[in-house]
Amino acid sequence: MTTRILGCAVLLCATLSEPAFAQSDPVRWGVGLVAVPYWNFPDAIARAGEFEESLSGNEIGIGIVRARLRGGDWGLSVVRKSVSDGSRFGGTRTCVEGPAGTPLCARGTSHVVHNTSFLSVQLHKYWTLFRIGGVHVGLAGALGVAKVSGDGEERIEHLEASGGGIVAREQISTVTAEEAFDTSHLPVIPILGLEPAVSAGFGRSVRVRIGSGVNVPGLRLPSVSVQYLF
Amino acid sequence: MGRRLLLLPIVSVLGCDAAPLETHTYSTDDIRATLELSNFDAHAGPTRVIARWRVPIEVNTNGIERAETALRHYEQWTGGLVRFTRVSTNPVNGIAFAEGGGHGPDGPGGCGNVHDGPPTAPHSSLNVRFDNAGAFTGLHSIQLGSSTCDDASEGHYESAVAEHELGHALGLSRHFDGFVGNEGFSHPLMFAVMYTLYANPVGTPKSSVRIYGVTP
Repeated sequence: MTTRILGCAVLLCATLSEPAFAQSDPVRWGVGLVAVPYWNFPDAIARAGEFEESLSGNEIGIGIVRARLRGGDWGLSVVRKSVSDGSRFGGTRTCVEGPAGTPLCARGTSHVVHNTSFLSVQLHKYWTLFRIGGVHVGLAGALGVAKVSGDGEERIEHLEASGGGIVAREQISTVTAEEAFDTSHLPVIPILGLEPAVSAGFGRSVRVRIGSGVNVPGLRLPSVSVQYLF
Repeated sequence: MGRRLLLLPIVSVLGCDAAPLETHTYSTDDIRATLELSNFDAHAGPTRVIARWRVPIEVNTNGIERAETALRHYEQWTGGLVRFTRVSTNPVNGIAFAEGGGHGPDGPGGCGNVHDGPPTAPHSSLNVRFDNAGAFTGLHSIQLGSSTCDDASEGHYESAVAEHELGHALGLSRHFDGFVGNEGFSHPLMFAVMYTLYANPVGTPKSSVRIYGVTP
């Protein structure tokens, strides 16, 4: 998925961007906007930890940058990562053969969140590695801290003997998103991001960077940054 | 989840198009083998029999809410097969909870412990005693949490560690899948093993245990 997104981004930028100029390209201050239409918690993590996840959402951020029109950049952004309403995580569905020979299954403890988002401050840097025409290919990294807020439910799915049979039942209680993500013991949540990206300059002041990769707590598919340099 | 957030950058590079998690089903043979492995050994004469309490079991929760919740879950989820009589002093034969001091061999970082001494005394091992039929006698003391571990937040839910320790006190000695330490009484295999233990009468030979108390 990441490879396809980057491939398309390279083609798009190569088509639309202006060729690299020979004249000087000074480092300038600017403002940037980042949008991530979709991120999710990868199945690879869930499989490694033997739990089930359906965690996804979108993301938007704004910040200041220091960049060359056709080169690398660094900056500081405030990012709001929203979690899709009803996202569920935790627990593993396990079954036992029941008295009648049919499987009896329960997931254990999982959490569902509502109106939840991670608000973070991120220091980010983009290194250009090589150039194809007017397009730079590089690597973007981010370090930051976040706080999570919102509502959640703790759901304990268990087996219960009832009315002559054994059935799965769910016990639901209200928790905060902090409790749901089990981050209440952390003063802040560390944010780490790393994603391959492509960038190009347009006109005299506009830069576009498209990437796809890790940004806790998920994979960004893709991230689009638009920067205006003064 | 907090720890999972930190693992993400490392593991996600492995890929994101993975197959869905496969659901595991434990057979009745697995339940039998797990009970055989985990349940304490009692003897009625020369025969190895299941080791459990006679119900109702006297319990002093010492006013600990997590302990009360744990008792309620066992009673409700087993449909009353496991049931308790709440008492306000430590029973001669039964279970008592104490807050703190859980620095025993069980669980990560000293979060809970079961032993056969007075509830608040530092003591680490559970030496079980039985009557002639194989039912537990004496006091099983459960210590919840310690200066280094808050059991209410260590488990998957607030009473989960209390439910795990109660599982030991009710007759399960060794850990197994679903009875590791922080999942409480919510795992199907743990449920099936505990239900089977108390669905069979005291003195039932281990070799002839009926799974869920049902004749195959």
